[in-house]
Amino acid sequence: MTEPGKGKIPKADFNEEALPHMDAVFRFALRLSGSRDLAEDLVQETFLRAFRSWDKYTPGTQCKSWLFTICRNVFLRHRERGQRHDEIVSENVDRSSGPFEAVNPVWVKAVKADPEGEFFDAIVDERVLQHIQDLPEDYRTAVILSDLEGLSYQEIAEMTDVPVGTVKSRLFRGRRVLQSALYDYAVSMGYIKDTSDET
Amino acid sequence: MTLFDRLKQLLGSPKFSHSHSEGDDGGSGPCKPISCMEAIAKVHEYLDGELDGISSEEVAHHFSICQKCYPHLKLEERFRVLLQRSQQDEACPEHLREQVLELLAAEAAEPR
Repeated sequence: MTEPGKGKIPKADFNEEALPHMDAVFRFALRLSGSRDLAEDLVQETFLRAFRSWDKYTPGTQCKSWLFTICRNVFLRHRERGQRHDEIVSENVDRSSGPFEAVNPVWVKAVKADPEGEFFDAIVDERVLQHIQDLPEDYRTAVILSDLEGLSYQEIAEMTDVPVGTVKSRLFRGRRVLQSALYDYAVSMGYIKDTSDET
Repeated sequence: MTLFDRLKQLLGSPKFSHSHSEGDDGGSGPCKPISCMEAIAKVHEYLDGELDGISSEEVAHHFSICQKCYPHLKLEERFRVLLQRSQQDEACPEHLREQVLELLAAEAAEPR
């Protein structure tokens, strides 16, 4: 039920609109933070803040995206208070790699040994999640929201307060870094033959 | 519909073949031919369903006839399937759900 003249929905509707997204918010928090303990804290804080500011939610808009935005803001504030050493290292490494080539060099190598990409089937989920976790936060957020949660470029742009072009760039670079890491892992495990030295 | 299903649907044309050579733009067909460079540059937007200024049919057509580019599409697709698989069945723990509900009930009971 909408409050007359306000265009807002009362807190009674919070249960119907927001709570069904708890699984999605938990997954997002888990991928973003890489820690189950922190993810649980983020989920609690997200829903508490969402409940308190429910009158700011616009009915008919994407409630899940709104909750993700709150969750990410809570996470970023938490991170500012104690940025993890490994994240600082990761961001420095990944951002120093310069411009990316149009043709994915990882695929160029993979095509020679496994053009169907069957090596992906051997990679365990935990390893995938670990490499997602190793991405810089802005790349990680874009990849999670697009590839795991299926949000559109426009939704991600609004959530992260950047232009759509920036979302595309972050997705492109985030995926490239992730693909490279997973390929290197697959080579190290013998899931795919290293063809770097072949001409 | 999975990415693979979508791909199969898009590539379901009987014209599918691997006869395309490097530098060939696909020859005559129902779609405007695009170059390998353009197809590769658009592969993310194509798989994301976010193409702008070019149709998915045009991109799909190129991949369906170009044996050089097709594996890149295939690998990109398998990569996405891997990401999707990695988070299957990841649900909010029951104890956390209860904690959130208790927190909200306490918040609602707070005098304004």
